[in-house]
Amino acid sequence: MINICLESKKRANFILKGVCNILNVADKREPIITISNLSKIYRVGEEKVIALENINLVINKGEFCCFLGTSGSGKSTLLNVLAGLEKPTRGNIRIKNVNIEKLNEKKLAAFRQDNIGFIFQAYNLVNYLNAVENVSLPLMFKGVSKKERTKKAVELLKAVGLPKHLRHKPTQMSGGQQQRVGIARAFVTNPDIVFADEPTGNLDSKTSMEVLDLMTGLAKTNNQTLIMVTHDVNIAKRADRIIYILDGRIEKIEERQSVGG
Amino acid sequence: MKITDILGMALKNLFRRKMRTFLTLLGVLIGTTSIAVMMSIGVGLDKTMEEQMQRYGSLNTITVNPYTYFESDGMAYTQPSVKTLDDKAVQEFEQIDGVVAAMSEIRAMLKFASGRYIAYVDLVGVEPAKMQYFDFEVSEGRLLNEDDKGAIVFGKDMSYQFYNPRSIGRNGVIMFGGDNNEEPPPVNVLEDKLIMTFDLSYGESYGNQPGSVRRKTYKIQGVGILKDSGEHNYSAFMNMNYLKKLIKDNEREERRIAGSQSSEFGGYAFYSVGGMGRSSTKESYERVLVRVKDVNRVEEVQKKIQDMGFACYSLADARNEAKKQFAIIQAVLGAIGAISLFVASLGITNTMYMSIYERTREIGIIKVLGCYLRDIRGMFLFEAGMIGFFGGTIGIGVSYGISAVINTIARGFIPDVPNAAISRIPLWLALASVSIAVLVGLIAGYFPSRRAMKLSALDAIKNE
Repeated sequence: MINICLESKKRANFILKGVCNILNVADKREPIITISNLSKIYRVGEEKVIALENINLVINKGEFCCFLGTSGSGKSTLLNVLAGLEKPTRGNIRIKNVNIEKLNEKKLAAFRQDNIGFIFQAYNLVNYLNAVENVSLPLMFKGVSKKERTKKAVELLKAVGLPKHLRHKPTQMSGGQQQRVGIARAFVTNPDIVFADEPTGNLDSKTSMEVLDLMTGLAKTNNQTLIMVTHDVNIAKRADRIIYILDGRIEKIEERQSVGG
Repeated sequence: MKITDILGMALKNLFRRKMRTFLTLLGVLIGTTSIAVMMSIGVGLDKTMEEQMQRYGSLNTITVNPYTYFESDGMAYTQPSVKTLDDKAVQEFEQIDGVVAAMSEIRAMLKFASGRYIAYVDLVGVEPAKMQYFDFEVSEGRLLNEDDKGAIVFGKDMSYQFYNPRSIGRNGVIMFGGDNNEEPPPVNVLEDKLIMTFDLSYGESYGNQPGSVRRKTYKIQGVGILKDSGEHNYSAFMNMNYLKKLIKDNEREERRIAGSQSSEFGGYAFYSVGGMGRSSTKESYERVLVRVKDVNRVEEVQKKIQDMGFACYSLADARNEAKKQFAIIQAVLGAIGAISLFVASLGITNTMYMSIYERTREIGIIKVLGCYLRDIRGMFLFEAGMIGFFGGTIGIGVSYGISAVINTIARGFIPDVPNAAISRIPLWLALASVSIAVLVGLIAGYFPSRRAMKLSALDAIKNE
């Protein structure tokens, strides 16, 4: 048992080193997500569909990383697997030194509560709750008292520029406003990692940029890692690093350290 | 998640779908009401019967008779008991575990008179010290004392038994007073002068009776009137020792008369101190009353007395028999009610499933945001449970109303029992009904809540 553990640790270190070498990134940055040999295969009837094939990637703390690819490239699947919403077929994912593919549902929920924020393309706000209630949802799941979570939610809503929409229901707000609420909700627990799945997919280009500025601004302030999935090259350009995904594989990685900082 | 938050979310969802919640709740309400009302009738009938029985005598009292009772070929026979029902037997009864007191009594049929008024009286000789154990309570005056002699305690309606024999000739009927007599009784038994005689022809003249002899009369005075009690209303009570003395005295007198006159005389007094008849040599009481402390032990004590060789009966016999029947009635009525609650539970399940289909996306979102599965299940269980709780609580309220209406209507049909309540909802029934409604809600919500728990978060949040 111990041997196996040591073995896998060695292997992980080896891979880590390799990846670092490939990327030519100095060790000064602290890795927060390490993906090794990750594969995801769906079975559709008799056929096997390979969604992800042998992905190796290290994402560092505080980094704004973007998965860019066309529809069906596997970028969303990668995000879902990273977020623990889907189990990988092979390989492992270490987030903050936890192998998340081994966690059970309950531990995953707790892990998400503590470490992960989500921003969706369709905002996915709860329709019968107002802005403050929507933003405070993740805190409610953690068992934070109503007074405290409302205070935090109001704070975040002000930060995303919606001080006058605290009691508005999602249906009373524009798409851009709804996505701001979504962003506030993702950041309210102060997570280490925020996943954003096509966050600007339903927005016009002007609003898209505003929303992006908000996300990156909040993430940079607290040195949070932001992982975004998009098919839009213009949006992807805002990231520190663009990972091109094609047919379930990393096609190339583009460093854009100078931009967005 | 905090329990209050789970509750809050569940409530929010219930209020969001007012119409559907209301209709589901209505189902539970009707179910609970039907159970509660049906059961209340069972309980009410049972209690009413018990109260009615108590009017005939206490359920805690066993009556012992000096003969044995046996069945053979489906026929019941009695024969004089081997053992004598005497003071020794009374003492033995008192030593049985659970017995408060045993009281012997003797009875004599004789006549009271006050001025022009006379009355036939069922005079009971009792032991004054034990009266308190046998539901003797006065509404006026006092009970008997150990050293009382001519003191009499009257049953509630006894004073109405006095009549004027001379008025019969005119009206042809004797007017006896009853329960609802509004006129004052002809004789004030506590104040007026009273005498008593063993001569049953006293004060009346049946034409020319040959050999009619003037018989002794005894002075008596009324000291108390008893409260309403079905058993004692038409009797009068006297210290047993004094009554025994008077009976002996009377026997001597009768012998004297019989000796001096060959012809038969006008009227006998019937009394029963000497067992089955005066000829009996055994000093056996006609009946002995045994008071048991706990109504549930009556049967057990009764069995012991039977084993001692006496026949005995108690209202508990009839009560137990009736209880068995009412239990069946209650079960049947309850089952009818339960069917409607079962149907209501299907309604809850259906509502919950519908709700989950509608909220698939929402459930997915909260899962992704890190809501624990048990909290999701909790929310749905709470929702279902609350439909049960509110439906049950309102249902019980409605049941009390329906129960009151039933009783008002029923009172018209049973006028002889004042305040009869055919339908009663005791606290236990109310609490049980609400609990059952909540339980049904939880059971009905269980499978839908599991479904919600198992929904794939990924499918739920997929962009449409």
